[in-house]
Amino acid sequence: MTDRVGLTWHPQLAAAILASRERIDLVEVIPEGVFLESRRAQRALRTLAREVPVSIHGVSLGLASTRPVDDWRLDQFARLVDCVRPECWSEHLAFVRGEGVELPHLAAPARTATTIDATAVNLARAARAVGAFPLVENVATLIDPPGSEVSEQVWLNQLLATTSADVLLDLHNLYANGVNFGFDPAEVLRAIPADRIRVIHLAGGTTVQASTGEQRWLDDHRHDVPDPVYALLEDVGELVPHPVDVVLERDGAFPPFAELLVQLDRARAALRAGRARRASS
Amino acid sequence: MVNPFDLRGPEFLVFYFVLGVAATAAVLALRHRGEPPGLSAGPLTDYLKIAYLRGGSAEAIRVASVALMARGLLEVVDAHHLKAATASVPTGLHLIEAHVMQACRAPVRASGLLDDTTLNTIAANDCEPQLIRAGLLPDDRIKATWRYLRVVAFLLLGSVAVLKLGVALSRGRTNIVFLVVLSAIFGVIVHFVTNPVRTAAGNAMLADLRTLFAALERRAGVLRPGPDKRGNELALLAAVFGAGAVPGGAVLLERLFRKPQRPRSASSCGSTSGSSCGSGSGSSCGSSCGGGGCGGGCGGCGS
Repeated sequence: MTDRVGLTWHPQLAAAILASRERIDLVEVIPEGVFLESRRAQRALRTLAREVPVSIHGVSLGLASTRPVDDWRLDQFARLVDCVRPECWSEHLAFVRGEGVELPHLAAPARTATTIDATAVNLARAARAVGAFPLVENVATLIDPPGSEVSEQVWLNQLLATTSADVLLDLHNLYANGVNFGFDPAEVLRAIPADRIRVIHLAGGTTVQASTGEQRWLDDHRHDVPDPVYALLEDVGELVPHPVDVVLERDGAFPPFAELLVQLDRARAALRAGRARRASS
Repeated sequence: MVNPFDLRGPEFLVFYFVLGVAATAAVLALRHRGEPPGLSAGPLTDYLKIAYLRGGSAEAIRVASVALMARGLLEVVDAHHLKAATASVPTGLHLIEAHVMQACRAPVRASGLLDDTTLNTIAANDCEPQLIRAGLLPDDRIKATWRYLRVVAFLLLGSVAVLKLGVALSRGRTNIVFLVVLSAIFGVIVHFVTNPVRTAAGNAMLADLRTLFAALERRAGVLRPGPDKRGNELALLAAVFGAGAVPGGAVLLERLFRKPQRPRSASSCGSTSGSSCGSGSGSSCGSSCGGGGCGGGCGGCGS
């Protein structure tokens, strides 16, 4: 078993991904919009999963919420996972709705003991419905969630202590929050239990200006992976004792596919460098 | 209980129609029974096998040609001819592509490639065994099942029709045309439903590919040929949706691979043109004579 590197499945990239299969170890599929709703699309995804390792990456459950996740949403995921048999499935540590309002983005929860308990309950329900715990992903945020009592790192570690779910660590989200709130993402990375990190996300973003005039780093998945994120990936290679899957997220402003392949190669190189550091230490 | 052979003509025809529909439905329900329930892995990345699955060896040759053209290894000489862009066959090509390249060392008519016996044999030998192993095309056992169903359906429908014809003739009835026609229609239907090209898994695989690559078809206009994987993208597009889905393919490739029409005799040309002219349809005339054999005659029609 070795580290694997792949990217997010995007319909526009479908043929390019398959035409470059020898350089892509796995694909991650966001099921909302097509695969969650259509049986025919699920069957097609199952066919894809026979050719290339597939993981399912949800964006709609809102697990990090004090509101219980809807049973019908969990049932949808259960049916999808049962049909496709992905290698794993994952969701964000975010809330996406409340009081009848659907948010158009993933919102970071207030970091409190209450949200930890509620998230753990939602994770347990998700595991019961789907048959396996989802990997949980840290999210990027432009504002420090109001009402938070602890740091992101403490909140995440306390949550991990209460659940069996492992971590999908988004290094770009970590980097973005570090830029926005002035902490060192490498330090936070070292504080996360390395044996719980299973999958890594890489992405790119850009600077945006807040209404207050402050600059913020936005995780938009439309830009190339910045250098500091590769440096964090090298740290992952050094810290994590087992093989990890690395997924490049790109959701728009697609460059020529060859440039995405170059970024995958760069990710492999960063991981190798980290593994070499681990071997020599 | 009513003996159906004692039914009067119209009533018996209704009975026979119901019997034919039931037999066809039973054949449809049973024909995929003996097929493997699932498949291990399909040819998701192999555009030539996808093309073969969709349209047989000629389609595999056509897509191989498209793939070579997309990578700049085949050149379009004129509206109907292709030629290899390099004297030597590059390494790393699919077997079919390499043989298409060899066949195109001198300019050849593109449509002739599709009829080339050697190329068709190579395509079949290269693609069919794997597609059969994957359960996407029928093996001998499945074909035997289909044959068995066909024979049973033919025997059932044929013997009922023959018996009724015998009864009718013995009673001096001679208005048997409707029954003969109806039994012939069901014979044709049964023949087709027991001779599918692909297994159920093969049909499902093609449907899955169309679903997965739906966005590719919508994006066809921005795909560009290139020497690398971009050429493979176009080849996949052609394999899944047909060469007509390739940008410009609907016109260029359709003309390139169109088989030359046999020159018609002067009288038949005149009659076709005359009929089109008579209906007052200029396009009908063009279409009738587009193949070239009748060009002169139709030119006259248009005026």
